[in-house]
Amino acid sequence: MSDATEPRKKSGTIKVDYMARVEGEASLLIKLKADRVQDVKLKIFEPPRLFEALLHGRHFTEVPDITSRICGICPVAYQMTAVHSIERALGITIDPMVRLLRRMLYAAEWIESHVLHIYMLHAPDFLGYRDFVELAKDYPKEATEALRLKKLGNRIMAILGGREIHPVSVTVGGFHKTPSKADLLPLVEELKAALDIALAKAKFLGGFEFPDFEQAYEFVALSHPSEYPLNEGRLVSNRGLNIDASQYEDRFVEQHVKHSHALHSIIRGRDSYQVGPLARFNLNYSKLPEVAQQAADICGLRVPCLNPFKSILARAVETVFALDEALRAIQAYEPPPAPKASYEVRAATGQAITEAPRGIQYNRYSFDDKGMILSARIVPPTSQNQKRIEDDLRAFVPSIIEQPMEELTRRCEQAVRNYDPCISCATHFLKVKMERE
Amino acid sequence: MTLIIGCGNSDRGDDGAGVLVARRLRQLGLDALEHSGDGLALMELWNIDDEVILVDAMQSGANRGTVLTWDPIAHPLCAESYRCSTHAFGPREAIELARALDRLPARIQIYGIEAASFEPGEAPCREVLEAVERVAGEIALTLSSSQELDIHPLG
Repeated sequence: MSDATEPRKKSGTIKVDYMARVEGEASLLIKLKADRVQDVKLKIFEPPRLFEALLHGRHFTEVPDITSRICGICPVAYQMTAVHSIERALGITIDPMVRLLRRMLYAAEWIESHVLHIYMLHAPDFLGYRDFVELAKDYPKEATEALRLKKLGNRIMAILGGREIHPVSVTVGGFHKTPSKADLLPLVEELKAALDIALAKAKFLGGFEFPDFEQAYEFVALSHPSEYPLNEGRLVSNRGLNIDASQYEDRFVEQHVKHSHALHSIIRGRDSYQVGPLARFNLNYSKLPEVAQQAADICGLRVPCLNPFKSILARAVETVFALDEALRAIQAYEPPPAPKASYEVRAATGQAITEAPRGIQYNRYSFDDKGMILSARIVPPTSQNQKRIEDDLRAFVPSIIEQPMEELTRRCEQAVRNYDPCISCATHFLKVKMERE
Repeated sequence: MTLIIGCGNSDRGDDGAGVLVARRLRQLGLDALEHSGDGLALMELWNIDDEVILVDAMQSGANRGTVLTWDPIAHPLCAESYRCSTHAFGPREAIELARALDRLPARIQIYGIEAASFEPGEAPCREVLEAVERVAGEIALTLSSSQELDIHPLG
């Protein structure tokens, strides 16, 4: 961090060279002139990883295992979006119990990812600590319980996915192996206890102080007729968007910007948009189970919520949802007749959208009659939120311009973390640089 | 019990130092775990009455292959010199979080092997490989004298 000691200047540059507590490496540059924000650049300098090109010429059955390697935090999102795309291409109908297990696997990833971000990455901002270790010294109960929740997410992942990170059980048509009911039943009491913890934590998080900042967002999320979205649904927004995954590329545009290795997404003819927990909550509140709605009441999160800093509360509500979803899945589960559906390979193209912890992920795959990949397209949530993060900062900085540089910089970092950016996915550290002229 | 943990990634050059020590110790007949170095998971490995030996790559500015050893319970780790494991929340954070939550093991001995290159797919450099032999040998010798094992370490 530099240039962060001079208070109340009207012009200059703020920079944080390596912003911690984000997934991956990037920097943020904010230029100020006479109290006005001249420029905001979220620079993702991590080199492009070229996964889409890497998939060319590989068989579609390899895709879930290759794409899961894009991210250690949200590998299931890559696996789910990939298999759903390929299954849509081939017209494969999966067994209802396989669908249930997939929702449970995805819920495990939401628990892991949300708990990690709420307590280890974002809560220190609200409580004035440098990191989770410092927070844990003063809040040992909260820290211990957060670790317990995350560990439960890891355990569910290991049971369903074969291991805690980069699960290996997912395949086109289902799973390589499905668990017995007895494999899952030991999780029931743990999930019930975790629900109690997560509800108590909602009250703790609701007591945080939130900056008075709202924006007129276009929220974009999946919408399912009866379920809080994970694996399927139409893509909707609060401004009338309502499309199938196959129409995604007609309505969304990815743009190269000079300062980032990640593409910026916008809605064609419109502008930036927000994906992730707050978008899902605002668009799908009525489909949350009662216990998750209770969590929202406890932490004071109400629809519509236009304050991005309250995304931490949406994550807390979704953690309760995910725990409940896993519990519900175990209670309803009976092993399917076969772990995966059979299918015929043919040339085809398929698209799918699923809800990663940070927001929607879009995939498209085309393959030939042998199943070899001809083209692949992967749009992760962080690249979709990237322009929105910059827009938020443009609007937020003037409201805190009177703050000393150090505080101004800290608040900007907190604002970026509202989106839990997974920069490894988008193309690792976040550098923040703010300049005053 | 004594828990030996080698941290790192053997597919990323010198970062594999800790993992290679664990493998060498197993060749010598000792139990040793390989671990990615993820702090939260690392903390779950030990009980409060365990004695832990933790080996990892480090970046202190010393010459490549230099071995440092210290007791992080008596002497908290310096964040800047010990941050080259796989993610930002690594062994240092695991130890400091365990300290904050009163979950430190009875004893921890850290061996840090100075690393320089972390390129994917690269092999560790000669200096680091030599250090791996020295560290494995020292750990084996220490444990053999306390456990009467027939160990003949190399290096």
